[in-house]
Order: sequence, then C-alpha cells, then structure tokens
Amino acid sequence: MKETRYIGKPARRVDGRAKVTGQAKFSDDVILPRTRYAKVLHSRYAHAKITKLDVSKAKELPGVAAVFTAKDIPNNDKYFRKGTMGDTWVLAEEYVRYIGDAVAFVVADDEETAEKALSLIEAEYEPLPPVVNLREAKKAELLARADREGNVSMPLEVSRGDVEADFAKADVILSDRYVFPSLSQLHLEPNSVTAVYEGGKLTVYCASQVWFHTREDIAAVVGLPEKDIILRPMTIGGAFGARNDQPLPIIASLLAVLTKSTVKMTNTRLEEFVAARPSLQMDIDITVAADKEGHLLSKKTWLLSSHGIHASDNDAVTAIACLRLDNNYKFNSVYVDGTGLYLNHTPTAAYRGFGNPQMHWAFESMLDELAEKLGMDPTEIRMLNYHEGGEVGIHGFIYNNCGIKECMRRAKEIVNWDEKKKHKVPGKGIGCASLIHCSGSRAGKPEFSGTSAWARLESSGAVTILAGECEMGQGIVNVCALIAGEELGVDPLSVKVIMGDTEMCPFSTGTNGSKLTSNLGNAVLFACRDLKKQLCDALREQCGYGPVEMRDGGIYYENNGEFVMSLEQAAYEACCKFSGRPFMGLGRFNPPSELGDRTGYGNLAPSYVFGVQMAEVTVHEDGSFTVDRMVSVHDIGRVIDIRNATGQVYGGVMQAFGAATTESLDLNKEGVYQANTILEYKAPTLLDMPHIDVGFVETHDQYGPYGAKAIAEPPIIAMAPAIGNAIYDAVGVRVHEAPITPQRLREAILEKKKRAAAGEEA
Amino acid sequence: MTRLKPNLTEVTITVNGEVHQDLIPSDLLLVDYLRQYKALTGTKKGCGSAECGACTVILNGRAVYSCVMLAVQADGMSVETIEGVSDGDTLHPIQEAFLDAGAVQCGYCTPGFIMSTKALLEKNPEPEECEIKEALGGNLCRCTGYQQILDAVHLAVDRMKEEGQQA
Repeated sequence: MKETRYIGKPARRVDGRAKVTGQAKFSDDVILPRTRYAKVLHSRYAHAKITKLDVSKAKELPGVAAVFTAKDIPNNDKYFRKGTMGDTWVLAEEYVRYIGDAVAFVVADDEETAEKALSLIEAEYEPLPPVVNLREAKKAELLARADREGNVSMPLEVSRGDVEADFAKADVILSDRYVFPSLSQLHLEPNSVTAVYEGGKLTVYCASQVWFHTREDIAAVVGLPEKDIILRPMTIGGAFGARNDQPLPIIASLLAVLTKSTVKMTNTRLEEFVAARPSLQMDIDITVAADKEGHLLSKKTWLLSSHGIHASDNDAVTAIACLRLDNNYKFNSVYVDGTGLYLNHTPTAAYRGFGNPQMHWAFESMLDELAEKLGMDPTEIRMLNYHEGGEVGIHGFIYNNCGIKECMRRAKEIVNWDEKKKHKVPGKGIGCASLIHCSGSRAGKPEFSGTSAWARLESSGAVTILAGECEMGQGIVNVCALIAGEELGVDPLSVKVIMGDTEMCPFSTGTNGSKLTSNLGNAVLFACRDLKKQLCDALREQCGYGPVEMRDGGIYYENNGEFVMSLEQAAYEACCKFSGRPFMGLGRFNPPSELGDRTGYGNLAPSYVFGVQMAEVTVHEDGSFTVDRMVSVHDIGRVIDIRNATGQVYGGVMQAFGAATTESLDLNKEGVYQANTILEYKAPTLLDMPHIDVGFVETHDQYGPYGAKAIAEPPIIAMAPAIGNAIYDAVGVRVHEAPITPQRLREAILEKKKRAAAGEEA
Repeated sequence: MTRLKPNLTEVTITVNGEVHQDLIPSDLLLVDYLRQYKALTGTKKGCGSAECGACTVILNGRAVYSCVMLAVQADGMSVETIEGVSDGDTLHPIQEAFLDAGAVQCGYCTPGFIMSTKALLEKNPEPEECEIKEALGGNLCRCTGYQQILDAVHLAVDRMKEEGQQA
C-alpha cells in the first residue's frame, strides 16, 4: 500500500467546527425577511371520497394570503420525476388515498395563523375500505386506487439458468417465509424549505440528496425553466435515502411561485411519519435447493413489497431486493417473482441498503436453516458458497476483488466463534450473516453515469472543491478534503468543500447507492491532479521558473528539490500572470459499469463491497432477550477516512439493531401507523445500544481512489438476520417477522413447547 | 412578521451570560424564544415533544428540553445554549473531544449532546459510564450509533482532569 500523509489517518471533519458550535445552518435555521409560512391540510383517512371541501372561512382569516385546493393547482397531476413513472398528484382531488395525503395548502403571514386557517377548512369525507396488507393487496379484491385496474405498481420476473433441473437434482429443498417491516429513516432534522420567488426566478433553501433531480422536479411542477431555479443546500441533518424523493421542496416552491413571495414550510415530526417516504415492507417466500455438501444450487423467491400510494424510488428498491443478494453466492440458477403493490399509505422509498436489508433478513435466515438441516456450521455453508475476486455473480456483477472470506475469518476471530460453538451456554447464542452491496453504482439517470468535480485555487491560495453531490452527514466532505489534501499537499482542514449548490457546482445525478467514495473520490482526485498540472505548467512556462512540482503546501524545483515559494505566493503570481484567472482543475469519473438489461443483468458498479456481521445474545424463557455484542467486519478496499468509516459502521449497525428489535411502521386496519412519534417508534437510544466491534478488511480496489470502496450502506444490511440467527442458536426458535419483539419471541417459544408436548403425546 | 398578542409578559432572562429584557407572548416556547427572538438557531427543534433532545439547553445548571418549556418559565434564570460554549475562538474541551472522537456526523443532534454533556460534567466531573449513559439517554442520534459520542465524553473527562479544568 502506498505511503500516504492524510489518507487512512484519523482526521477531524472539515465541517466539524461549525457543527459543534451551533454555527452550521440547517434548513429551518434560514430566517429571511418578509417570509410567509405555509401549512398542509392532510387527510385523516387512509381512503375516502371527498364529499365537501370548503375553504372560504380559512380564506377570510386575517393574515391568510392564500388557500389552495386541487382545482387551483395548475398541472395538479404533473407532480412527477422525469424518467420514472409519473403517476401522482400535488393535491388530492376526488379521493384521498392515504393518511397524510395533501388536501389543501394554506399560506399565511405567520405559522400560527396558517395553523389556525387549517382548522377553519371544512372537509368531509365518505370513508372507503383501505388496502393495508400486502397479501390482500395482491388479491386485489379491494383497490388502493380507483384509477388503477389492480394494485400492482411494478411486476418483475427473472429467471436465470435451469431452475427446474437444479431443483430436480437437489438433495435438500427448504421453504420458508419472512416479513420485514416498513421503517422510518428517522433523520433527526425534519424537512424544512424556504423558497424565494422574485421576478420569474426561484431560489430554494432546502435539503436534498439529489440536487439536480429536485431542481428538475420543481421546474416541472412550477413551470419555470431549470435555469431560473437555484437550489442552495443547507446543512443536512441526516437523510439515509429518505431525501431522494421529498415532496416539501416542490410544494414550497410551487406556493412561492403561486403567491409571488417567500414561503417557508417546516414539517412537524408527525408529518415526518405520515407524509414522508419510509422504507418498503416486504413479505418474502423462498424455496432454496442445495446438494448434500451444502452447495447452493438454486432458489425461487416470491416477493411482495409495499410501494404505498404511488411510484417513487420504490421501483428500484424492489428490483434490488429481488436480485442483489443472489450475486453473493455461487448459485447455478435463480428464479424471482417480485411484485410492488399499491397500498393506502404514504409512498415508500429508499432507506440505507436500498431493499437489500429486507432480502438479507429472509435469505440469511434461511441459510442458517439450511445449514442446520445439513448439519453444517452457519459460517461453513457461507464460506463454501462465497465468490472470489475475478468471478462473476449470477446477475452479472464482476468482482475485481472480493474480501468476503477474509471478513468471515476476521469476524469469527473477534467473537471466538469456534470456541463458543463448542462450549454452548444455555440461553446464550451466536449468529452470523453476510452481505454484498455496490460501490459507485450507476444510480440516478439511466443515460448518465459517474460524476465530476472542480478543484479551484484562488489567488489567495485557498483551495475549494466543488461537486454537485450531497453531504448529508455521511462525511463525503471529508473524503473530498482528505483526497485534495493528499494530492495538493495542503492541510485537509484548510480545504473548503462546496456541495450541491446548483448555481456553482457541476451537475450530478444524486447521492445514493453508496457511490461517492468511488465516483466522486476519483473525480476529486483527477480534478486535483489537473489543477496541479495547470499551475506547475504556468509556473514553468509563463512565470519562467522552469520545471517545478507542488507538494507539502509549496512549490519545489523538480531537479534539486529546493523550495521555490509557498502555494499562496505561487497562486498569486500565476493568477496575476493570467489576468486574474483562478486555476480550476476539472475531474470526471465515468465508472466502468453498465445499466442492467431488462432482466436486471449487468455489472452495475465498478466495484462491490462485502461484509460479515455477527451478534451474541442472551435469551430468557419469557421471550425477553438482550443483544450482548455486535460485530461488523467489512471489505471496503482502502480506508480513506478511518474515523468516519468507523462511525458509518456504528451508525448503520445501530439502525439494523433497531430494525431487528424494536422499530416498525405497522399499519392498523384503518391504515393508521402504530407509531406516529419517536417514542412510539422506539428508535434505539444510548441506553439501548450493545457494544459494537468494527473491523475492516483492506482489499485494494483497482478502480477506487487509492484503492477505496464504499461503506455508507453495508453496515445496515445483515445485522438483523445475524441477531435472528443468534436467537435461534440460543433457544432453537425463529421469529420470521421483524422486529423480533419479546412478545413475538415468547409466542414462538410457547409454540415450540406446545409442539414438543404434542410430539411426546403422539 | 409576528403579530402582537394581547397576552404579553415582560421577562428578564440571562442568555449566555448577557441579560435580556423582552416582552414576549406568555405561550412562547423557550426553544422559539431562543431561535426566533435571539436568532440562536444552534438549539434545534427536532420533535417538539421532548423525545429527541436536540433542543437541550442548560437552565440554571440543569439540562432541559427547551421545546416543552415556556420562555416565561425561564424568567429570572440563566440559559446557556451551544453558542455560549466556546468563546468564538477557543473551543471547549467537550467540543474538542467531539471532534477528535468522530462524534459528529450530520451534526443536528450535536448541540443537544454537548449541552447534556456539559450539564453532567459541571455537576459530576468524573462520571461512571452508566452515569454518562443516563445523562445522555434522552438525546437521540440517528447517525453515530452513540459509540463515538460515548468515546468523546470519556475523552473530554480525561482531558479536563489532566488540565484541571471545570466544565
């Protein structure tokens, strides 16, 4: 591994100081003069016909600037994202179709007046039975949307290899069903937007993971050309996929244009639950076939997933759930039948892992069932079926490197797996699961891949990186700063990183699919090299210094290594020589990847990341249990930012722990979420968290900057099945529906006892 | 524009060491007083119902949720917010520790965590691990998994002990 000065070393975050002093400005911290406040009237019914909607009293309230219903919205049904299915609306017109569906907007001089106006709107409904269950939705006896013939939002059927032949020669065939709940990403900062309209131009202060997509969406709805819209990124308080597709920037922009003013909207926490974009619930049936040595031969999967009331990123999430995991094992053949369904709840979308955690919950649990049936150790069956570097996954992933076997060895060492398996303690259990994900995937626009960055050197010597992607807390600003520091020989903390401002930054397709370390990392690397070359060329030719190089914050003669001048002085001299021109290095990275074909076959990313996760648990007779320890070992290529990479793992593991044990957005029969507050949702607190051990297996990736790969999503992917497998190891009982609550576990334990007793009697 | 309301109350509140006299609505929340009247937006409003801790400030030495307190309840008292923790140049050891331990990701919960930590260490400069967990158990973080926040508190405790500094 090449010796580096900053890469891989502990570093403070470049945006850290602003965040520990309260100076970082989040969207709700924007305070502008003459701002009006807007509020949304949401449907209280999951499915109903609107029988009366009278806004006249609300309009008359002093301080109310405007009230809008569907008929006031030009192109009400044009609320869509270019390139994906356009099947939604800004305001509900004849029917409301989920709790949270927007019925009316109020714009007023202040927040309190807007709220009061909402209470003056007279809305009456004739309730209709809602579709709230995946299996019922599939039957289609009831429709979630009267404008559709069925409840199918997206069908996907893929068959690779000779599935029937492989099943015919199998020694073991095993079937089971698993359910993974819809989850709230629960980024702590509620969405907030301030949209300023003046003279045909719109400036929007907000949060988004996909700045240029959001600009497109806004343009389509408000009817302005994209060139007249500027998005100004604020500090983002977490996103985790939820801000791929947020309605609030579009709504606030529309209201600013319609009222020709500055409009601010901030979601309440309740709105963050009912009208946000939570993850997809999945109900998964799997039949797996193996030979007696434990080689996986084939697998059939039937998957139902909740898309909520309209399409968004959920199409892609369902597709990834259907296919991605298969690439992790050496199957001969696979068949999958996936169905995304309309249900009467808020549209679902991405959450860290993008469908992968749902399928991993099902299949990684099944693998343990299979291992037991074959009398194998759970780690052994996995090791037998893993790929190696140089091989190709069944859906076309090409592995230029693969450290998964090493991850397994390391994780086993950390938990002392073999010893613990040999000396079992009653009530204690240990479980494992493994994972695969993309690094630098082609998420975003089908016709566009990769990303670009500028590295700017001003006359003052200040270095600025400009990129159109998004910093949402994951720490990509630091990856950019460390790479710039390494390449240009400057202190990374002195590098300014500006991201996502649509007026200043290069175009990007958006920040999802764990793509930035690979893609943007390379773009920044190339931009810095370009900058360095431009400056050294100028110093050599136009400034007459002869051959020089740039390092350690200064300029040195190439031949004898003697110091010429500081970077500041060089920047000033070169800038003056060129009539004040700043030096701009441009870097662009086009990953060697392809979009999947119609069946989803293709090498979606330049590189792939792997990991093994383990959990240790103590289970009591009454179904209560504790997770005593979690271990997460990842192959992420070269680690660029060790502190942040470790933090990403801790955070992802915590979210998986929540999903495995407490969190869910279950609906009741009326289509009401059982959790509408953070307390009800039961996100883990510091008091709940078990100890986490993190390990990195540093492979070298030929396409990644310095050999690096991604880390953002992987830690959430396989910890839930690892916990489930550990619980099985402890008490021989499996809860098939996450989260594994004490109630569910107790029922399973009692059921097992009942069956054992019945068996004895027989 | 904030409308004048009939029900105004005069309060005297010390904010970050400065005495402020204001005429405020009786139903104004402390978090809104700080954010809207004093432009101290470092204090966050994450849930509005005492569930996330992003609004934590120190009131007369105690960490409190400013989103479920009225500003008038702080009359005659002293409030410390995240903006008052450093002097604008030198960071407080807790802030330094948060940076060095990697305890900051998105940063939205950070002010609340720092205020809860400061309130704890002012009273109890050498807390046990369980006391730290208890003191920070009401602050939610969705990014870090808490491990590096815990590391940061330990680091701050160690450094402040070495330097003989009080929180």
